[in-house]
Amino acid sequence: MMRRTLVLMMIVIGVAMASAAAADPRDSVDRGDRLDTDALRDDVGTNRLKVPSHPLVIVPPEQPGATSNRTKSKKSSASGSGGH
Amino acid sequence: MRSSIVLLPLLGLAGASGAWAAELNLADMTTSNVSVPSWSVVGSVSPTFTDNALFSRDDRRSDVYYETDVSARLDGYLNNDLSYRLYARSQYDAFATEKDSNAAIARLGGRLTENWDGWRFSIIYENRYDFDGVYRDLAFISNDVMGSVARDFRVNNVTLSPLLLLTYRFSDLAEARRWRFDAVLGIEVKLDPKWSIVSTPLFEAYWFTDGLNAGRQDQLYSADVGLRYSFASNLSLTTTALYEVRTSNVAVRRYRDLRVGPRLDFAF
Repeated sequence: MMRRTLVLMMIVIGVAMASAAAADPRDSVDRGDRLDTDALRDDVGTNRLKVPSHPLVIVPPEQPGATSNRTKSKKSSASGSGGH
Repeated sequence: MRSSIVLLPLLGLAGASGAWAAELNLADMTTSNVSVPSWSVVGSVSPTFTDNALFSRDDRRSDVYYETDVSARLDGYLNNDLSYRLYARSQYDAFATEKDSNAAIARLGGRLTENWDGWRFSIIYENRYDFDGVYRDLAFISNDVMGSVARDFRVNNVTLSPLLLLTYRFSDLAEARRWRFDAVLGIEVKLDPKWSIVSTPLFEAYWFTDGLNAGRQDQLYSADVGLRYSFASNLSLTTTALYEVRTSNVAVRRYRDLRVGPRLDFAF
């Protein structure tokens, strides 16, 4: 009886230790970091795409003489930075 | 219950921008120099083969996984050179066999970018929720503060897009708190209007600060080459082969990984 109890306790402790090992918080952190690195690579790809004008976007009328500088600025910053 | 934590800020963001749009006056827009903010959805889908699904030093297992990465963004300008972006982003990895590697992230963020003589300086705040499994169990919640500088250089049919990024992560999980430095170089060589050769070599350095990771320092080196076909200006397919190595002062955290697969990038 005593021996059975001891074996049972050993099994319970073993399962608990295995669960604790599987739940190492560093693994969750590493998985998140891997997704972050992939996200950064994805940004390089998606930033090169041009978002088409959406029909719901209301474009203000062009203003002669006041738009050239703004257009230049937008083009130069059209692609994202900082990975988002 | 935890998913509602993620959804609430999303609904708030959508509601706030809706109210903002409702307050716009068309008469004001005809005389204002500040453009109207615009919505967009961008993302990628990529089935990928990896020879190290657990990204383990010793337990190398091959597998195939799907990664989806979709963002909804609101972009606008505060003046000619200062732009902002509010975004919500969902990204997950779903493995065919090694389910322990499944992971997902929900992000909400904002970015301010100053355009100075072609250089883009950004500060970014991101509130993020990391999950074990595909949005199964919430693992930790973090707040990232980032600063970056980037620029595009174009010479004939070659575009180079270097980016430097520094991040500090505040988190409710001690092991997740860390500094990270990224140096990325986006390279695109256009062969013709549809076809390009692309590459995104990158270097990352991590300095973990707390918990079981206190004192841990990682370095990640990654090189890839791919062939891209552009269906349209907002849709492209890229097939890439990538090799990645992580070194660390914690020996068990070192790994190397080879990945091959197509990726569909879209924007609308």
